[in-house]
Amino acid sequence: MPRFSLISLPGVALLGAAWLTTLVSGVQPACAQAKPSAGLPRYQTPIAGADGYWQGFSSLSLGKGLRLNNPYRLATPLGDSPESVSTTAAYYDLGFGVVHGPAQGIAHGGVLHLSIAAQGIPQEVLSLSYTALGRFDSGRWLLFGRGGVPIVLEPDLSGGLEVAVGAAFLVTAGLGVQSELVGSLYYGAGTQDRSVTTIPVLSAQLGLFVDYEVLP
Amino acid sequence: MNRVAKCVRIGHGQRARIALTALALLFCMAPTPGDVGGCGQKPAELDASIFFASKANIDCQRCQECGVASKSCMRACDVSLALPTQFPERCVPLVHDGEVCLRALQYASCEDYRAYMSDIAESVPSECNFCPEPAP
Repeated sequence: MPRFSLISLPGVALLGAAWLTTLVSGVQPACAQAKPSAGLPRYQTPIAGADGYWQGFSSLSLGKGLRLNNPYRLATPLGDSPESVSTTAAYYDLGFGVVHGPAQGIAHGGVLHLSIAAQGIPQEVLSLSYTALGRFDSGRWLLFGRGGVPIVLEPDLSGGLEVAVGAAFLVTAGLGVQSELVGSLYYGAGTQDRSVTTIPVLSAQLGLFVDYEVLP
Repeated sequence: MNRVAKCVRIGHGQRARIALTALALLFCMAPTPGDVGGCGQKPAELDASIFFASKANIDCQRCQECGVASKSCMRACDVSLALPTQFPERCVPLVHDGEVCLRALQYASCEDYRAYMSDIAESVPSECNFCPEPAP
């Protein structure tokens, strides 16, 4: 009890003051670093010394693809036979991602995509991917790649594998345009020749990109 | 002045990139793969009676929905007519062939349906073309 009383109110106040002093003194160098150094454009905010920071982003795109194997004669075949290479239905794609990494270098994280067919039969695909993102030209250009697992929710539950590369150009600090090329491999219903069919799909999508950076 | 020149150069570069993106979109017009079937769905033969009854039912509904009054529509809606009970010789469609066809019919546009049920030049959606007639 007596020992506790020694660090009661005055002690707590002292500790609090010390903590605040440490906090303020710790912030001071960062504030000093935030001043633009000579030779850098004024709109740039140097974040030297930062190990990394979080960056969230989302995208809304419209896409279309090429189905390279078509055992069920899905529309729309491009060749003479119904089983030939065919175009898929156009689709809307909504993406949400978050990465963590340094200002100069590659950031790593995850991204969730939901694709919904814009025409034909109802189709929904949810994909979860690992993503790597690099910033270029003072963060105006973002190049990214991802690899993950798409899950077909409708019309039949199925899955596959997916890789994609893309780029986003930020028109303002938080809003830009983006394009992505996606290569997917889906597993489908068996045919008389194969118990499981594999359907490769190559697709491209173009849309809006919203960026949110949590700077240190 | 240098900054202006740099902006002009970036402008040209951007135009080229936009053109490249548009080209990529043109040539690779979804991760939505289409009605490829469920993973693990084993191949099983399609029952002709069930398929033709389901197809007639969908045809009749879509004809009414789209206001098509062709002879094909009348046949589809006539419950007294006997429906085929087997597929043509050498044609052995699977259950998923039937599913793909019926779903395609359910979600086809009215414009497409008029062509499918036309008395003059009837067309068949590629999804339902699993028993193609042999070339003459």
